[in-house]
Amino acid sequence: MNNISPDLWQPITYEDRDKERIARPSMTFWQDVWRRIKQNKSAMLGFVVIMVILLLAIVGPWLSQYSYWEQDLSNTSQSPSFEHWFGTDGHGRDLYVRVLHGARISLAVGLIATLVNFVVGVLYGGISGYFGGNIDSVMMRVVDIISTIPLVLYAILLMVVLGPGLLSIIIALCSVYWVRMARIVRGQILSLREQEFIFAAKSLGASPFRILVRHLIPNTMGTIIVTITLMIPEAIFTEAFLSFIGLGISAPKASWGSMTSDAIGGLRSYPYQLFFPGAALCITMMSFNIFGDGLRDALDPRLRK
Amino acid sequence: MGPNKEPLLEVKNLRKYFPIKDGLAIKSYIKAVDGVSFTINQGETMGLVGESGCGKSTMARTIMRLYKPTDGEICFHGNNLATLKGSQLLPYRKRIQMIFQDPYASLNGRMTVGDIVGEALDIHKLASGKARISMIHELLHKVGLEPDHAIRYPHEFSGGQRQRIGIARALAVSPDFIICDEPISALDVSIQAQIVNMLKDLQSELGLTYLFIAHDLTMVRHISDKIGVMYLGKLVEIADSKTLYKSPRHPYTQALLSAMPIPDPRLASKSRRILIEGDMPSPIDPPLGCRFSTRCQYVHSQCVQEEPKMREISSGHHVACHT
Amino acid sequence: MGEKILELRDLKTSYFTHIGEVKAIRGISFHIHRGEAIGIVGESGSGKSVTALSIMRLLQHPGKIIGGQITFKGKNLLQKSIKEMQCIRGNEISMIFQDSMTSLNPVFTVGNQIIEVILQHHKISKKEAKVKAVEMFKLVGISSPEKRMNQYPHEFSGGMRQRLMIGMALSCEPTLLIADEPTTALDVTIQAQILELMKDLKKRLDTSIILITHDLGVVAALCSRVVVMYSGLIMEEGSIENIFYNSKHPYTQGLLKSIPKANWKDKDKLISIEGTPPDLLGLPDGCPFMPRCSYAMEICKREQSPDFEIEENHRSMCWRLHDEAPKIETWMKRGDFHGTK
Repeated sequence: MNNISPDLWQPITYEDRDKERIARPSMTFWQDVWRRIKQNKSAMLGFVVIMVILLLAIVGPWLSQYSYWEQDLSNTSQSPSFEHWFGTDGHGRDLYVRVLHGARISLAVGLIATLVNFVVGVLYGGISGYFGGNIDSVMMRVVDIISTIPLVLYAILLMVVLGPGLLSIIIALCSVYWVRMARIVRGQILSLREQEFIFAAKSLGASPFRILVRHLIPNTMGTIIVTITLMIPEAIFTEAFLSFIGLGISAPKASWGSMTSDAIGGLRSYPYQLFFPGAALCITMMSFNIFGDGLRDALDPRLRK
Repeated sequence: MGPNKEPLLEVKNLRKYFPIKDGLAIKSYIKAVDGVSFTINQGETMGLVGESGCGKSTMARTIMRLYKPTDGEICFHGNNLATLKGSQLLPYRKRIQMIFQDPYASLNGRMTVGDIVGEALDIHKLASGKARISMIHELLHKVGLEPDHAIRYPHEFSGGQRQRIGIARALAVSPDFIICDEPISALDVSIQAQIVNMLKDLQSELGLTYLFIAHDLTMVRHISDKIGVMYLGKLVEIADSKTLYKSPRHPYTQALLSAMPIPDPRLASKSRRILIEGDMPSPIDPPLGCRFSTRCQYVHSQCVQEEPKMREISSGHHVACHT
Repeated sequence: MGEKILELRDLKTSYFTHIGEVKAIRGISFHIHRGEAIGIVGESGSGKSVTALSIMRLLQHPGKIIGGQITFKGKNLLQKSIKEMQCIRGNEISMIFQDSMTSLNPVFTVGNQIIEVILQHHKISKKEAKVKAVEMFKLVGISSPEKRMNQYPHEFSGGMRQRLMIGMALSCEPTLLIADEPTTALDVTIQAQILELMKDLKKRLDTSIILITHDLGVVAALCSRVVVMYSGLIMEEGSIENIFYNSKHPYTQGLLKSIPKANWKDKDKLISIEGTPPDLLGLPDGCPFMPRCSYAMEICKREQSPDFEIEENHRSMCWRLHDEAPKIETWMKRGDFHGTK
């Protein structure tokens, strides 16, 4: 270190330096979440399975030569074969197509019910939490009352009025499930609204609607999404349950619930008729739950640096 | 430019009580701010010092009208803000702004820095499109940040940088008056000086008036023309900053001054500290008489019975103490 | 001065994150004697807290010590098993954290928690432990200890809790107390109380203290030596006199200038260090302080300077201390220079 060339002793000007440098790559919150969930093998498996089921439900029935309602009385209760992958049911209908058709119904019920719950629950909970005080007290008592009525009672009453069918199930699910979402969102917003960035937005003159939509809800989005992914399988299961006890989808439409219900009678002779819709239900529910759990871990602020 | 003597903000007997509810009935009140009066002149900086729990942040938020005052007046340019509601306040949101304490909690983590700084422009419809972007860049430049920082998210910045983003946000509406609610308390000492200097430079550049809140007296004197000391919801002493540091009259101010760390080992080993014992009493049930009487070393019988009035002992120097 | 009780030699600690290695400590060496108080000063991100955690072996994943030695009373702490470390922690080295609220369990009374700590490290009966706990309450200046023992943490104020933490840390009479920003979250009047308390305890119990802080003012009252850290390196180390009156590193000088002086004049402007501490991820070659330094030279960009020994117990990492370095006049001539001396 004795021979340091003189030009190295030259002072450098301020312009040559970057004193506000930020070295790390810019990453949004959701990019960060996505990065973390990608590391979680089982959550990704769940995600892939959900995607496959979704894809099959959409295009699957078109690719098959059979349809879910066409009866072939000469081919009743066939075992699985090349012709009929999952076999046929007591009316000779192809089970593979019927299971995929059931997937359509289940996913549709799950998604529509959750979407409605999302919109209603988030707005209701958001308003209740943001305004607080007496508005909050009244809104939450309403929620308490709704949540005391059992879902099945609702469903049965709706069936009586509207007749059994997809619509009644969705309405029944929608009118009850948003309550939980509203409670969760309200809790989050109650703690967020005392944060300084909310005060900052207020002092800039932001309207309550803007504060809710631009500041509060985006910050509760993580919890909301986890709640949604865990709500979908529940809605699917409820639909299956209602169809199983005969309150849901009616023939010839297929639902995993009604299919298992149909298969119970011939369980000894044709166990596969129960197995396929049952397995589809299990796999779907498991995938959503595993993915939801992984999402929760990825969103956990304690793990965030 | 020297401060001209026109009052910009006059706070008169301001009170803010928070009810403590027991079911539906109101059980008692937290008297966070309990009768505070002061005046800030145009172009001036008033420092406000007090320990945590003395009500200084509540006062800042009440003046900002984030809280509704229980009683009293907030006169800004002669208009009383205390009684205004909702959208009536909107024009004043452009004239009074606020800088917050916690550089982490005061920025919305889901918005880019550009959107945070530009939010005021959107709300008040001050600029859009290209003009908006160039205004954001200009604001960032004002606080020493680069234009390409606008697309980044708050968590990528250091505490000092975040605080500067907060300053840029407040400047977006070109306000006359900025309430700085402990803007430096959460920062490293070396960065505190940076922020204080920046606020001072902006003041002389833009002719701003500040209410600068801090929890100790160390930095306040470098920015304030006059300083108020607050204890348990009340002002106990107001004086111009030189007088306050040279001849503090209230025992609490004296204790605060002597508790300041002395960055000089030779002086530190020689100096005697006035240590005040114990903690601040609860604002739900403040002591009768002088609020500082429970910790004051000069306490006598009058202090316990009678609340001292604010009185002027020399020009501009007000103290609320019996002794 | 007593024996050296702790010595760090070329300690390196890194965090292995998904975006790369964050070098939190890049080879630091210092030591502390028995009964001595030293201060570690630096901005957030300078590695001062990581140093404390490394000594305690309390680094969280993905942090890892990747080199160097930590010798405590002649034994290398890095070779100790987890069990042995648990024995040392609390018994011989104690630590106080900034946030005393999270360090106490809210569902147990304060007395219970302290008695438990005492019982963990001493083979005495519960009764004796209680007596000891009461003594300790008195030691840290908490009045009516018998009543206070039965209260929960939330019934204590911030200052009280921090006293309590100090009391808990000292209950086993450790040889070394590491205080990581013990007063940062507290009010000045309480800070003064805590510093007085630590000074007093040092005298009475002959405990060595490492005080970690970002405020040089806090250090002045308590410590006899100061270590100034920046970006995982020790920029300057010296006796308190050396650091305050004869500092050689521009960073130390900047720190000193940015705190208000005791004998302050009316129109003195604070001189701050411009810019922001560098990101520890992907640090460029050369001196990490270069971008913010008034004296930066071409060489600072290329290479980190070695340690220059100025006198005994005073060293600094700055190229300006090199024999061939240009004199101060070089910078004085320049327009944008705002350093002094």
